[in-house]
Amino acid sequence: MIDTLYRIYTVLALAAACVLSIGALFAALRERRRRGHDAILRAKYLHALMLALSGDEGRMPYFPLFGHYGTRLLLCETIAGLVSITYGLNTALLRHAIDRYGLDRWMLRHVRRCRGYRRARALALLACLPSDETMAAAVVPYLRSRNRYVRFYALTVQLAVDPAHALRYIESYPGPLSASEVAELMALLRRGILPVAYGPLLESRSLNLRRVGLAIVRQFGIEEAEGRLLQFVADSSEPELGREALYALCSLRCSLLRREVAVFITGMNFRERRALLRCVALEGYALNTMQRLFEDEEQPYYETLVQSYKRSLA
Amino acid sequence: MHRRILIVAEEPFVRDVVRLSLVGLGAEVRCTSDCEGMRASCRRATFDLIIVLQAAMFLCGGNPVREVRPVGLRHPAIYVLSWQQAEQTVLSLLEAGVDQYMTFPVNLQRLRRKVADELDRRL
Amino acid sequence: MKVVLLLLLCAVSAAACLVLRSVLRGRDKRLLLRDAHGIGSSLSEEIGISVLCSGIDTPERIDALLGSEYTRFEAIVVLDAGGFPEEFAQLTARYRMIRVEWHGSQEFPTAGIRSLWRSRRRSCRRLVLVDRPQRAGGTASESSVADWNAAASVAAYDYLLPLDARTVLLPDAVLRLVAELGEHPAGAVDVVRSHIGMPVALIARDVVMEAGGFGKRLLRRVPRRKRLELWEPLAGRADAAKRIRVEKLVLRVAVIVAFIVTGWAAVAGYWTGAAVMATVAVVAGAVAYGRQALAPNIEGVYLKRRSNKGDS
Repeated sequence: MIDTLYRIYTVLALAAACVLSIGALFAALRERRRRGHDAILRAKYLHALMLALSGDEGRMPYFPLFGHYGTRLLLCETIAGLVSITYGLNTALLRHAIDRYGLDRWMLRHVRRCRGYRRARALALLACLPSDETMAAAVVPYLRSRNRYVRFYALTVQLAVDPAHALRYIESYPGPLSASEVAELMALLRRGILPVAYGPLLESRSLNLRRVGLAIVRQFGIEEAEGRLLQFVADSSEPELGREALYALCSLRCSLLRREVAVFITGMNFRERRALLRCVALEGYALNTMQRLFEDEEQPYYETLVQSYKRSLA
Repeated sequence: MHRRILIVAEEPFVRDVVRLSLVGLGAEVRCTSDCEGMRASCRRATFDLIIVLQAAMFLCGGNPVREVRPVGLRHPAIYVLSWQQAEQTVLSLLEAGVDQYMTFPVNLQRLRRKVADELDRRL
Repeated sequence: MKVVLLLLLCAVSAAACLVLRSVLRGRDKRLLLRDAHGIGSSLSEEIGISVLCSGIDTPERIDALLGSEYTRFEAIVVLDAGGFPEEFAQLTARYRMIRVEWHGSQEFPTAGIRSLWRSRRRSCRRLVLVDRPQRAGGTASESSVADWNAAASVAAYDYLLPLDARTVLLPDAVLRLVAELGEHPAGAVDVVRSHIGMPVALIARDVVMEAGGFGKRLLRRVPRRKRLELWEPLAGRADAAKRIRVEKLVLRVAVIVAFIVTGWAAVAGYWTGAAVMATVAVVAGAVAYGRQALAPNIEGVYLKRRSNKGDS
């Protein structure tokens, strides 16, 4: 009996080893292809695209070998790469090319076929392809994915294809956005997809919209928002948002000698207070500010911080 | 007068995008991938403009601007494009002698106009 | 006995396949985040990383560390100016460093910091040089721990990444760690570590402080829910270029030999031996697949040097 089990195990293990070895071989071949054939073809596709975009006639670019294995993904990656590092391109021409070659529909099928982070990457590519508003509805099922990256990049597709309803999409996004995700939204904003008007975002009832608003305030150094930031700090119902608002006040180098800030700091735990002290010291606040905000027992710590950081600036 | 532009970028794709956006300006565009290549290219030829597509090169110990630009001259002009927009980075680059700093995402038409203006100024 | 051995072999094969699955997922995640430029440029407000370097004394290694464009990042290099005067002088000259006043934070068991040096150049402000005498008679590990404690006492940020002379951070490691921390609420993660490539661990400053400094049992103090394991390389060995070729060759030979020996043992009727060798083949195959999948990351620096020859 046990010998039979050993035989079965050996056969199965050998089969698994064969599969893994073939997988390794394929991975090696794919990597070689990526560095050779794909790199050349990508350069050609980019050349064709840039020629078409720089011409006035709006002529459809010709993509050599299009339709062969792997070329659709390569073309999608090329267009997405170009769109992600630029703004102000002739999107009508790009959209025409995408329609003509059926790239958005193909990419949507690719999204369906992939799983996990691959699906998220396919959605990230789709978000960079100039496409029509029907895509916003097509990616709705992915907003319920267990993978947070899939959910987030599905949101970016919606924002990219239908920027007029960007705030509604962010508001209805399931779950809170992480700091990384908000940072990615800031990158979209720099491409002109999101509105920069921070007022409605900060006034919104949605936590996600308020976080995006806070990120805009920090990124663009909007000092006029100081009053609203203090309100966030004073609002005890959202301590996480209050903490972010406090850090935003620090990065704007606003005065921290406010009652709201003092109350918030007394509610912070030891770790959070120390982290805030380091941040305050790095931003160059004076010792006097810290003396009035923090307790006496923390005095030796913040004195060493201020004296070390400020005096070390040459 | 023959004009030359050098593009320095590690990422071939970004390098190609910028190179292709400068086609038709009547300048010879050469590319290299790192600081070492930039130094070698500058030893071989004189450039009117160097476009560096990463800020990291200026944040290490070396001083690339000093290496490619003789002391007291403002030639070649050095433009840097990067994703970083932190105040500290921008100040560091300007202190290092960079003439123009732009952040990604970049408008290619605007970049092309700036480069054309820069080349015209140097005629 | 035979049953136990069989179960053990099954467990080893299953573990190899599970680790491979995690590695492939890690590869996919890295590929996804490679194009997430917002994280590096806009997430630089709260998450700060201090890299603590022990035994790193060459400008090339320090330049590589400073090559990260992330702004809330600093590299703290600990070096003994008395023991290595030439190296110290070379670093202070190259980075135009001056001695600055410093007050110890008393959070870490720091002994013998002679002086602290910072750069006059704004572009090198992320570099801090600590002059600390090496104690004679200590092991390399003890010396590293003492260096890291000294570096931690001058660190400005909330997360500490200790590095020794053998470990080289991969070019995008800092951004990758920042992305991982940014995925969770502030304070939710105390340790991010990776065992792939050279093992490295990013540790919250407070964890090190509460443990009384760096030590062997430091990471065990951290509850599991606050630990994050990455199945992707963040660092490589300093001598990676030579080893990569040798390791590839050894893996290929191991797979082929395991197949041949399994076949021979099966034909000869030694099924126990065949099962053991088949397990070796599974493990070697999984390692080969994983290595190949991670090749662009692990060999990144090495390959870059080769591809740079093709300038146009």
